[in-house]
Amino acid sequence: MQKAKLIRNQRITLEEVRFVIEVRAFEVPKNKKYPQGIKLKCVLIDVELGKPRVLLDNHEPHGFHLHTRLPEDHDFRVSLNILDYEEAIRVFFKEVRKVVSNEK
Amino acid sequence: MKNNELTMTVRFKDLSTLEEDLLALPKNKGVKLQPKNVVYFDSLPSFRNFMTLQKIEILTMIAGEKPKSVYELAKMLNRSIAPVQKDCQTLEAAGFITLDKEKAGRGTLTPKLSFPYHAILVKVPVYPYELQFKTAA
Repeated sequence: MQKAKLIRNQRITLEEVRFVIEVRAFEVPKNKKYPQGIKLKCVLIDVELGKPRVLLDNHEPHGFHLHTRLPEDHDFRVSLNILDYEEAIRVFFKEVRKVVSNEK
Repeated sequence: MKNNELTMTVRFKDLSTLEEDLLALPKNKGVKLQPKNVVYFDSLPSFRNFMTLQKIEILTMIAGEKPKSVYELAKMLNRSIAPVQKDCQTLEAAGFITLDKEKAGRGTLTPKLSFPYHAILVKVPVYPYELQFKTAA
């Protein structure tokens, strides 16, 4: 099996280090699960709690999914029923903005 | 500043710009990794409020005296441990330091610079302001 290759990593501090966004994207062979050949992990970390608040990824066996009950329940995930990378990014940032504005 | 001095660079990127950068990924799959010597903040006010004199003192002390624990660092700074620990945690979250956990014993956290830098370079974006000025003129 061809190894996933890290092609993007980005870490940004928000709101005076109340939150940190970490994004990692890997290039993987294109197939049904990864039609655009991208494996993605986007996470919003709450620095005060030291735990993730929003997590969106598309690792196997799931497609794009969102963990919506963080930090309490890591195993609860909502399948996004999308294959499109761009749409997944938009969903992640929408969730991030929701959390960040609620904490202001 | 000497050219051979290692610097940690602070850059700025807001949420919308980060989102746009990531949306461009499927068209450009070239490798674009964040260098170890760069940290990003969402805004200049966010960085200004974050980087207090106490935090700069912590970085200076870690670089110069190399404390073995947060407790030792707090003693060197003549501050109580709780706020120093909190400052260290946020400095780690932002990427300025690492807190290495001792494998044996009590799992003491040793604060270290994330790489041996000598200065912090803050790259303030002036271009948008210049653009606004030209537009106004």
